[in-house]
Amino acid sequence: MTDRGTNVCGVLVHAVPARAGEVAQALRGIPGSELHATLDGGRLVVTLEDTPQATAFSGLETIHRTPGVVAAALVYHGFDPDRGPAAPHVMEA
Amino acid sequence: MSEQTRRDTMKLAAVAAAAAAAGVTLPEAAEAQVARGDGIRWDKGVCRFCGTGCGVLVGVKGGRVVATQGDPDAPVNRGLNCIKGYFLSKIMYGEDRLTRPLLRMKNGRYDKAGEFTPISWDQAFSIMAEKWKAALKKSGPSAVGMFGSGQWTVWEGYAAAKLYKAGFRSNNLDPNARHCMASAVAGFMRTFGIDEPMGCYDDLEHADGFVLWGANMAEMHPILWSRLTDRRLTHDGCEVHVLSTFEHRSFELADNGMIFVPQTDLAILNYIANYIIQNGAVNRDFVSKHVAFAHTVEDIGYGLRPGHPLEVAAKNASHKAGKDGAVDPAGMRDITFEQYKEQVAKYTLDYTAKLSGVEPDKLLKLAKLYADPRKKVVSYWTMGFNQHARGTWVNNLVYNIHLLTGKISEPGNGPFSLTGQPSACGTAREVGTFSHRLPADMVVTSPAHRAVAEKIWQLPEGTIPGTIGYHAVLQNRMLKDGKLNAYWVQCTNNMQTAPNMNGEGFPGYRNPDNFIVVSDPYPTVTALSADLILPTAMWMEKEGAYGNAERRGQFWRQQVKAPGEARSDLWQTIEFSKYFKVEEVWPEELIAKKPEVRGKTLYDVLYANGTVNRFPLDDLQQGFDNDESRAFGFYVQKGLFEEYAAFGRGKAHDLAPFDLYHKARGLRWPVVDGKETLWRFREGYDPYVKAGEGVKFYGKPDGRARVIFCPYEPAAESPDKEYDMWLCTGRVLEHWHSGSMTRRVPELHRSYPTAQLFMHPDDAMQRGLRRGQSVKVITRRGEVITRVETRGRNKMPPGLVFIPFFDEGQLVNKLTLDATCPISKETDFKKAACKVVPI
Amino acid sequence: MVMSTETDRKTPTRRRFVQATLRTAAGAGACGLGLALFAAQSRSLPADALRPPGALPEPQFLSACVRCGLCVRACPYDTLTLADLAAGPAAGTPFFRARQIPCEMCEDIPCVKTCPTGALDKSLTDIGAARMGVAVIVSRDTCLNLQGLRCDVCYRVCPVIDQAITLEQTHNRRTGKHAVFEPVVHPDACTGCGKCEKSCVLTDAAIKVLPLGLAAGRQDEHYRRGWEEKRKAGRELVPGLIDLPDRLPEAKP
Repeated sequence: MTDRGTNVCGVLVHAVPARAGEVAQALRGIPGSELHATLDGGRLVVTLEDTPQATAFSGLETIHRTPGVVAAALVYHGFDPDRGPAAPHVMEA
Repeated sequence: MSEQTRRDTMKLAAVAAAAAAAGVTLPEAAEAQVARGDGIRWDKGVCRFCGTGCGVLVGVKGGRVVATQGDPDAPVNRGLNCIKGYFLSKIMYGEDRLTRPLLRMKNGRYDKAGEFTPISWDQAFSIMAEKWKAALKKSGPSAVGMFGSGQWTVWEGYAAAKLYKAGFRSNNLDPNARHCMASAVAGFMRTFGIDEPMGCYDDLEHADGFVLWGANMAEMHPILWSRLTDRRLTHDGCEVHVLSTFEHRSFELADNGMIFVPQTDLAILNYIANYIIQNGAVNRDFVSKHVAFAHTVEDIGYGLRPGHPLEVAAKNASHKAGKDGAVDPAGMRDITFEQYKEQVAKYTLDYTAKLSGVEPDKLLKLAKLYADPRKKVVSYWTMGFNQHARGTWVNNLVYNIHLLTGKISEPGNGPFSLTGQPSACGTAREVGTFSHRLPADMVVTSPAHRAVAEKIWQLPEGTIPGTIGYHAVLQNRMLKDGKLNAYWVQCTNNMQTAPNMNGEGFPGYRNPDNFIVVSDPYPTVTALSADLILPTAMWMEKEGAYGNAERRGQFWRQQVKAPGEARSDLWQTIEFSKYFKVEEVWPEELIAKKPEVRGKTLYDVLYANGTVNRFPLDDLQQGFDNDESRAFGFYVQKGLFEEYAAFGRGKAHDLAPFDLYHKARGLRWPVVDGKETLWRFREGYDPYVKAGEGVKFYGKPDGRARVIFCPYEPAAESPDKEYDMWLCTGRVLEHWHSGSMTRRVPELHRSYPTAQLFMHPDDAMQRGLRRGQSVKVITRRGEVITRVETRGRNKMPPGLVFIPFFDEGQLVNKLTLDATCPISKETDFKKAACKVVPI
Repeated sequence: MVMSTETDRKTPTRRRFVQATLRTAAGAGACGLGLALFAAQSRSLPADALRPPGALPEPQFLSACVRCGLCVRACPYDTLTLADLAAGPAAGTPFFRARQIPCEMCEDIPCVKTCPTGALDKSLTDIGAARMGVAVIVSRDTCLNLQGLRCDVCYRVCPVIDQAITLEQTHNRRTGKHAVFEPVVHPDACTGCGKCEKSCVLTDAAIKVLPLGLAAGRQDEHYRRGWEEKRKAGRELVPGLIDLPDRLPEAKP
C-alpha cells in the first residue's frame, strides 16, 4: 500500500497440473490475493491488490516462489490513485 | 464513483485480462468487458411514469444518465418498457430545466404582477415564510395549503404531511392522486375497510377472463396489457371483455367489446349482480361467511359549489349533511340479502340494454362470465371508474359482483384497481397525504388515529387538527374565494390538469390575496401561473421510493446531481421548516403541553426529533450521492422511512426494513417474516388471516366485506340542445399526463405533437367539418381550438368526442366541469356537454 | 418553453421558395429536349421520394406532369416539394419525403383536384384508395415492438389503423409472460401517407414508406391460403366432408 493509491494486478498463474490444488491453497496465504477461477491445464486466474501488509508486486514474487508454480504472468496492472471516501458534496442553502 | 465501486471495476478488469490471456471468458469478466467498453455504471431504478412500476436499470457516465434499460429480471416487466420508458434517459435533460428559484419582481421587490427574476434559496424561503406567517396570523391554519403528488417519493410525501398536519396544523394537504385514485380509495374503505388491491399482477397469468371497466390498458398500462394479451393468446378459453364509452385500442383484443352511454356503467354493474342472483350463481357459502349487505345514501349531488342548481336540488348534497334531514352522502345503512335482491331486481337485461345502448347479447355474455363458477375473472379499471361523479359507487358495485360470486383474493380472481401514477399507492395513499388521512389508512377525524400519529411523531396531544382540510378541487375554489392564501404545489402540473381552469384554478392562482409557490423541474403551465418557482431535482437526481399498483415498494439510489441549484422536493420541504419557530405556528396552550419545544424550529420538532435523524451518514448507500442527507447531516430518507413504517407494522401495512428495499427488486406489502404478500384476506397467502379462517376481510371490525347497493343516477352534465355532445378527456400512450416530461423528449413529441379532437365521421359531416380542419370545442366554461380527427386510434360513437389533455397548447381543462364524486371528491373528467363548431 | 408545433409553420419564406422553384421549372421546360438528354446521365429524385396521391405510374407521370407546381401550392400542409434541377428528368415534379412531412390524407384531396393534366389521376376521390407507396418494416432488429417493448407508435398514428397496419400478437418466449405486438403492414390498405415513418421514435426509422415499385410484394395466383379462402367464403369450400369419432378410453367411474 502506498500513501497515494492502490495497485491492482491481474495475474495468470500456470501450475503443474497435478499440483494446481496445492497452489490454489497456497495463494490464500498471500495478502491481497484473490483466486477467481481455476482453468484446466493448471491455470489460475488471480488478482493482487496492495494491502497494509504487502504490495501487489511482492505478492507476485511470492507466487513465483510458490512450489508447484511454473509461471506467473502479469497481464493487467491498474493503479487507483484516489484513497478515502468520495469527496462529500456540500449543499449551499 | 466511490472508491469501492472503482476498485471493484478495476479488479473485474484485471480478472478479464488474465482470463483473456488464458483464452477463456469468465462470466464476471464478461461483465467487466462491457463496463470497460463504455464506462457506464448500471444501477437499479424504477420507471418515472405510470403505476405499473416497471423495473429499469439506469446507466450513468460522466455524471449524466446516458442510457436506461428494462431490468430483464424485474418480475413486472422482464426487461420490457413502453415507449415512454424507452426514453427515460432523456426526461431530465430538457433544454429549459429550471436551475434557480424565480420570483415575480418589480423594482427589486416581490410583485404579483412582476417578472420572474432569479433569487437565492434563502431569499425564496424568506419571502415564503413571510407570506405563510402572514396568512397564519390573519386567518389561521386553514389559510395555508399544499398540493402534492402521487409522483412524490414516499419520503417526500411523508415529510410534507408532517410539515402540514403537525407543523402548520393544517389538513389542507392533498395530492394530485385526488384526481386519479380517490374514488378507488373511498371504494376500498367502504367495502373492505382497508385500502389497496387484494390481488397482484400475478393474477394476469391465472385468470380465465378479464373485464376492463373504463380502462384503456392497451395505451395506459402497456406492459400489463402485454401480459394480459399473452394470457389471452396462450390460455385456451380466455376471454377479454372491454367496456368503454368509445372504442379504443383495447377493443382490438376484445372478445366482447361494449360501448355504453356515459354513466350507465352504474346500471350495467347492477344488472350483472341481478343476473347472478336470478340465475342461482351466488356463492352462498362465501356470502354467508364473509359478506354483509348495505344500501348507500342516494341523491348525493355532484360536489359542485353549494349554490349550483344541481347541489340545491340534491337531497343529500355534501354541504347539507346534518341539516333538514339530509345525511352524509358517504353514509349507508345495513340491509339484508333479500332487500338487496329487491333493489337490483329493477336492473333487468331489457332495462339495462335500453339505458346503456349495449346490445343485450353482449351484456348477457358479460354477466355469464362473472356468473360461471368455473371461470376465474379479474376486473380492471382506471379513470373511467375513478373520474366519475359516482366514482365511489362504481368501485363498490364491481366489488359487489366479486363478493357475490366469491371470486376474490385468490390467484386469477379479483377486482383490481389499476393506478395511474408511479406512487399513488406508495406515497399518496399509504403515507396519507390526503386532506382527510394520516399514514396507514388512518383518518384525521378519528381522535384515536390522531393520538397514534401524535405519539409516533412525539407531539403534544391535540397538535393534529380533527377537521378535514381542503381537497384538490376545493383548494382551487378556496384560492379563488381568497380563503386559502399561502399555497405550495409540488411535483404536479395542476393548472393544466385540474378541472374548470378558467372558472376556478387560474383566478385562484392569480388572486392578489394569494401567494402561490410551484416546485417543478420545468416551467409548466402551473409554474408560470405562480408567484415563486422553485427548481426541483427529479427522478434519479435524488434517492427515491415508489409504491406501484400491486403494493410493491421499489427504491432507487441517487444516480446523478441535479443541474444548477435545483433541489429535491424533500430538501425544499424540510429546509423550509427551519424558517418557523414553534411559537410562530402553534398556540400557547399547545406549547404548554410540551414546553421543551419552546424556542425550537419546526425542523427541530419534526425532523431532527431523535427518530428521523437517528441514522448517520455512514449508513448512506456507498458510492452514491445523497444531497439531502449531506445537507442535513443524517440519512434523511432512512430516518423518515423508518419513522413512517412504524405506523403500518403490525397493522397489515407492514413494510420491510429500509435497507432491504435497496437490495430487492421491490417488495409487496405486507412484508411479514421476510415474505411478501401476493393475495390479501386469504389464509395461506396473507399472514393476517389465521389458520382455519379461510377468508377474512379484517379491515372491517366484523370481518365481513360489504356488498353495497348503489343505484343508477344521471351524470352532472349531459348533452342538450345547445351543447349537444359528450366530451371525454384522457391520456395517450406516448405522453405522460400533462406532457411536461414527455413533450420535452423530441422523439415522443414528434410521435404525437398536438392533441386532436376524435369524432365520429357522421358527426363531423353533419357539422360540415372535414378531417384535419380547425375547430372550436365549446362548453359552458370555455373553448379550445383543435383539429378534427375522424380516423386513427379512437373510434368514437356518434355524439361523443374525446381530446387528450397532454398538450399545453390546447388546455382542455378550460372545458371540463368541476363536478366530483361527492364521496371521494374526485373530478369527473369524462363527462361534460360540449359543442363543436368550425372556425 | 412551448415546443414548436407542426401545424402552424406556413411561412412567407417558404412561399417565395415555391415561387422561385416554379420559375426555374418553367425555364427548364423551355430547354426541352437538350435538358432531357442531360438528364439521362444525371441524378434523380431522392431515394425516399414519394409522389402525391393519384400519381400515374412513374413513366406516365413524368410525361403527363407539366411541372406547374399547382399541387404544391394546393397542399395545406406543405408536404409537397418540387424537385430541383439535380433531379434530372424529374426536375420540377412534385414529391414528398415521409420522414420530413408526410401526407395528411385530406379528404377532398386538393392536390389532385388542382392538377391541370391528369398526372394526378382525377378518378381518385377517396383518399383511402391512394397508393403513394407502401410502408415496410425495414429494420426488424431495431423495431422496438419486435423486441417486445410497447411502442407501436406507427400503428396508432396510422390513419387507416387496423387495416393498413395491424398488431400481430405472439407469445414472448424470452419473458414467458408478455406478448410481442408485431406491426404488420397490409399493402392492400396502406396509402403510403408516411405518418408511420414520420413518427417512428428511433433515430433511424425502422418503418419506411417505399415507392410501390420497390416495395410491393404480390401473392402468387397459383397458391391460396386455405384459411382465408374459407373466411371469405364464410363456409368450407368443399362442404359435407365428414370425420369419424376417435376411440377414446372410457372415463373410469
